[in-house]
Amino acid sequence: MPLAVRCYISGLVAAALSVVAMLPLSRTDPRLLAVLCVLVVTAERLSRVRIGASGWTMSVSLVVTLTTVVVLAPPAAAVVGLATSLTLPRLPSWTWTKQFVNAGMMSLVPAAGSVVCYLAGGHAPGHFLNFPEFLLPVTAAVTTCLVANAVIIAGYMQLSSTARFIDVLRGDVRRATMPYYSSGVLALIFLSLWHDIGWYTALLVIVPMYIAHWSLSQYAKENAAHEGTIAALVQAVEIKDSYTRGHSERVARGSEMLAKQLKMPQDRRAMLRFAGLLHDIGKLGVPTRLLTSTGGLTEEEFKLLCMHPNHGVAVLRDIRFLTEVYEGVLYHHERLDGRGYPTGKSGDEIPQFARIIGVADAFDAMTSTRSYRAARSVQEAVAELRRGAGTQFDPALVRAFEAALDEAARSGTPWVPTELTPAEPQPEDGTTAAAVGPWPLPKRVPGFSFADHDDPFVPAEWFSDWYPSWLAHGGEPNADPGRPVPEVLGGIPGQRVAEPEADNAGSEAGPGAGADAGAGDTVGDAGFDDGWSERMHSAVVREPGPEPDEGWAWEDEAEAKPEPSAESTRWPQDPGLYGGVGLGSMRMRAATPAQEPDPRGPAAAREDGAAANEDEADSVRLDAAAPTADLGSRDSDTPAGAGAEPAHLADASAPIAAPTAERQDSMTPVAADSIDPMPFVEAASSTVPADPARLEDADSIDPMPFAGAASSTVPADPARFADAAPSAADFDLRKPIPASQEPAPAAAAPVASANSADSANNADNADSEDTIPVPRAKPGDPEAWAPSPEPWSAPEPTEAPKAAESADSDPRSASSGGPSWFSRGSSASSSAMRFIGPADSGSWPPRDPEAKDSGRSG
Amino acid sequence: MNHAKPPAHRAAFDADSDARTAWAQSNPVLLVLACFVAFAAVGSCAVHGFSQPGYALAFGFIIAAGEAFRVRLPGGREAAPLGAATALAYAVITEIGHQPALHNAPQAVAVAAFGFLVGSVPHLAVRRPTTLDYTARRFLMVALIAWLFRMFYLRWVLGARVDGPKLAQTTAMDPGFLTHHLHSVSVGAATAAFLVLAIISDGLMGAVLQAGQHRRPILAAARDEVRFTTRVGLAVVATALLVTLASRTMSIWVLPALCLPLAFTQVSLRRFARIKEVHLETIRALSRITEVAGLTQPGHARRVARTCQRIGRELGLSEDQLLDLEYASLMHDIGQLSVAEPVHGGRTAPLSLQRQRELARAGAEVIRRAGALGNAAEIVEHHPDPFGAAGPLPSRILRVANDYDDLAGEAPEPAERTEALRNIRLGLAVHYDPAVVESLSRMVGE
Repeated sequence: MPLAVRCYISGLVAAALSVVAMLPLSRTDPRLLAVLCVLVVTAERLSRVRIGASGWTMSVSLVVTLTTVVVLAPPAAAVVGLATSLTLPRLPSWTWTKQFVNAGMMSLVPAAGSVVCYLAGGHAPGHFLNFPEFLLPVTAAVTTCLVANAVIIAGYMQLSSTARFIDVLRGDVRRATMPYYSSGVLALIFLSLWHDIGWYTALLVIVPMYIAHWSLSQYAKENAAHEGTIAALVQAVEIKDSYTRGHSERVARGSEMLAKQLKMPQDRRAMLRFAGLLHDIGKLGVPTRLLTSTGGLTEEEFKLLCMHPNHGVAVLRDIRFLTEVYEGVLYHHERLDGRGYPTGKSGDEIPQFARIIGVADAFDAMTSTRSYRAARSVQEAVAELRRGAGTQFDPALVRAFEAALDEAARSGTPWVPTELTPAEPQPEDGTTAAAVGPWPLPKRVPGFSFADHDDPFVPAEWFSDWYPSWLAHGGEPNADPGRPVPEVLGGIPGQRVAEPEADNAGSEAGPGAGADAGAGDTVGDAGFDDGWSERMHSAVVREPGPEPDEGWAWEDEAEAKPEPSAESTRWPQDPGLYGGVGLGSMRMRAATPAQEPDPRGPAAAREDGAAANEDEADSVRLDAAAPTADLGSRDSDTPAGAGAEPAHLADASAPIAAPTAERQDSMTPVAADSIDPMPFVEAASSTVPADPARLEDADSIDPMPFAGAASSTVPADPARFADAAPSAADFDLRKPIPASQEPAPAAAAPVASANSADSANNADNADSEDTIPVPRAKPGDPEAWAPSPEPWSAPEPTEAPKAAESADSDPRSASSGGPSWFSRGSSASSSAMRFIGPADSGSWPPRDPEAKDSGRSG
Repeated sequence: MNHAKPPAHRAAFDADSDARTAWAQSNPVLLVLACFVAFAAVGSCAVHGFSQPGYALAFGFIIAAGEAFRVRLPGGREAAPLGAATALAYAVITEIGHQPALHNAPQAVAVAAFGFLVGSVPHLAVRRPTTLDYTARRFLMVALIAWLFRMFYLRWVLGARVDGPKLAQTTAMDPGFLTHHLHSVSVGAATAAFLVLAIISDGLMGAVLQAGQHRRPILAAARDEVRFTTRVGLAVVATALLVTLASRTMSIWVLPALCLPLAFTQVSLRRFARIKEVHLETIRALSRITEVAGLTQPGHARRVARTCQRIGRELGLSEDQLLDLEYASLMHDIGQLSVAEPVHGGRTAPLSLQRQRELARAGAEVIRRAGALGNAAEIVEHHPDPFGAAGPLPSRILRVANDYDDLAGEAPEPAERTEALRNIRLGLAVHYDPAVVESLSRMVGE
């Protein structure tokens, strides 16, 4: 213990003892003293209550203490205070030091109050003043006690910890004012009754005060129990995954630190803590084999992984008080630049809670041990956060988080990286090597698990061996447009490898300029099937489901009776909630029967699908209510994290201006969305003359009109879903949908005519005002997302056309390769780059952490 | 995917409480009685006039404030200690600021009626899902005490009606008459006794109402009432007594001063109620974890919880036990998350006893670690026990409810229900507690 603290405590005790020693025995009524001592001790033992988590406690004995201040001389008041301090319940945190401080404080405070009361003219031992007269002296005495109490505590805190005197003083006074003055009022009544009737009326005064304390303690207890229970349950959820054990708790802590730094009000802070605890609860909806996966993730698994925020919200959606919490849970993997999942929100669209949790989540992921690497240091993690500021993280939040970390370190509770040794032996097949290098890393990381999904150090490519096509081909920036459809896609079961239309699109698109991407997209769109939809289909039509160890439930769903449609319409059609969108390709689609490669071409296949859909209309009534059904059939070529977008689209950045401008409008109806929002598609479409006939064709044969209708009635906000629940008719397959209303979610993806489809659908859906399109990334605003150290600011939709106009002349956007959607990955000069596009893919692997680390340390 | 299920339980929940208005939820007999008493009192006041209207207004205002901020506790209970204490104090007060406060019983009742009515207006205006039973109960209690105290006791003590001309005559002749008769320990003690009587009568009324409404055994209802009333009722009695005693010297100012602790209590109770509600809702939501993971039927936990609550209430479980049972029934399948080989689909009923016990133990372990869920862990741990193993009653209820739901499934047709019940009955007295099954079949029959 420092000398100063010793001196302080001994000074306190000495002062207290000397005051007590002045007790004028002859002039003190021993009976009065005894009664007050007994009362104060009883009240103290009965009713000391801890208020909240602050460590501040209060007690009914304050009423009696304040009474002694008024009726007793200073030394006698000090004696009563001393008696109280000696009988304080010994909390777990009890130490002799605290005991001495308390003893000194509790004798000096009443003595000081008593002196002031005397000076204010209210003090005459044994003599009671009448009601109005003792108001002034009692008020003065209570105020003195309050201030003296706070000063003594603040002095001790100043000396014994790093807390600042004035902060502690202010906090103490603020917290204690209410208890002190209300106790003062009761002390007045106590005195009055004592004078009027007898001392035993004091018992009556204590009863309501005691009950008040009791109710407060019930509240405090319940509050603590609540938090504890949730934390424990979340832990129970984490139990299967050794690497993320305690992760939620730490994210909650990080979020709370951040909230404190942002000076959020207390209740929002509690909510945020809660959101942090629950942010990964949806992991449970992800099959167990992903959690314990020892291989890399396949495309399908990667998509499942990206669904976990949606699952989380599915769990939480009925908690009425937690609007912000589930926004936080749902969007915590969104990125500021719109490349996150599940909805691709960007910038200010991402709720604050989600941004905060995103920062805390990534930070904890970096500072804890993973199967493939040791925990990073706090400095490294902060550097990484800083690097992601503006693209992945909110720069303001990153700054605040740094400040919060400093603050935590200063107050003696620094963030400690979680050096965790999992119980399971680490797999030895190259994992350790992966942890320390040498780079390039294998793209499948053995031992990789769901744990890593938060980790910004992990390039998205690690997650998945499902690569965008250009990467599969070595990432040649200006790959031959006529090259074959990538093997990765072709390798997926049921995948249609080559499409005549796709080829056409590719050749029409001309050199470079996203033609391949467009082709790939077409393929994925029209015929892509990885077996998932088949599975879904079988579930919906009540056939035996997948193998039971999957942790999925849809075979039960299959057994279950179809929902009454009235009920199914209660299901909110929020893409964010229910996974209608994801992976950057924001498309909502009904479950389609599995489509085998069809020699007749995609159109025929679609017709089949439509027919099948019609046939099944009865049994598939809940299609809209089971939007996850579209997992498998969803477009596959836009992984959320797969930042490796084709920078060879650079040339196309200018022509995409027009469609981009339209897409910037957040009220763009959904049907527009059904045209692939992928920028390279737009790029292609703007270089390719529109083919209206084909578009029309695509529209009219759309097998899933209903999905588009569903997504066009998506409420803007999960919180609103109850109000916005669309009517049953909107989702009934049997309801004829007017041709003009028929969006083309599946078929419109072919490269052509994004533009015209856009406008057509704009017009068609103009009436759906209270709905928004499925949120999606904003491609093509070159100003918005160029990696830059400046704080990020939301791009204004109205500026988009201008930006697009200037795109031609803007050297930065030209050089940075295409829409800013990719700009981060493509501007090779930026140190902030982590996701690597083909522009610099000559230098694959993207970066060398060894070199970087050594550079930083050196 | 099961989270695509619409929240059917929510619809049911809404139909339970939110959709019905306050009037429909209240006991008609109680309401009519309260209205009658209030009209009679107001009429009497209109005829005989008001004494000391300023004080009456002050008391009425505080009663109204207390009622406006009444607390609805989870489980449907209501607490409004501030309004009750103030109204009771006005019923038994005899002196304010060294002046006799000799208003008659109808005036005390009318002031209380005014306060309760004004305090209820906000609740009715926003169509809060509430019952007027508790307000009516409080009002009738106050009316009863005012009548007994002022009509009988004070008349007996003073030898004259409090508002009669004879007392005025006597006071005029002997200025010390009132002080002499009212400043006595016996009057103080009698006041205290009347207040205690008020709380007891209120509790009894509550027990009778509870028993009638939820088909609960009257003893269980009375026990709950006593447990609930002890503390809050004590505070009400003490505050009312303090107001009557201290207003003698401190005049009307004692009223706001003494309301502080009760207001504080009420605020704390509100926060308590809120956090409790959040807690319960959170547990309810988290009970869906297993559904999302595909380890239970959609809505299973909530349906089981509802069934358990109804059966438990009918079989006379105390409120604490009911709460534990609710937690247990919501969480009873959570063990699925921690066992190596969970039962896919979550129908545990057809499993072997051994396997069920394994799951139950795993679940109990999780709940125990959560710590603050009362005896829920024990209930879950013992719920697979057959009837002969004499597990606790909540466990037996949980077992029956769980197996019934596994058999009947979500929203069963009448035929399916009968079939499920028939299967349950096959295991009667061996696996299932006959009393619980009896209660279940009554429930299913409805």
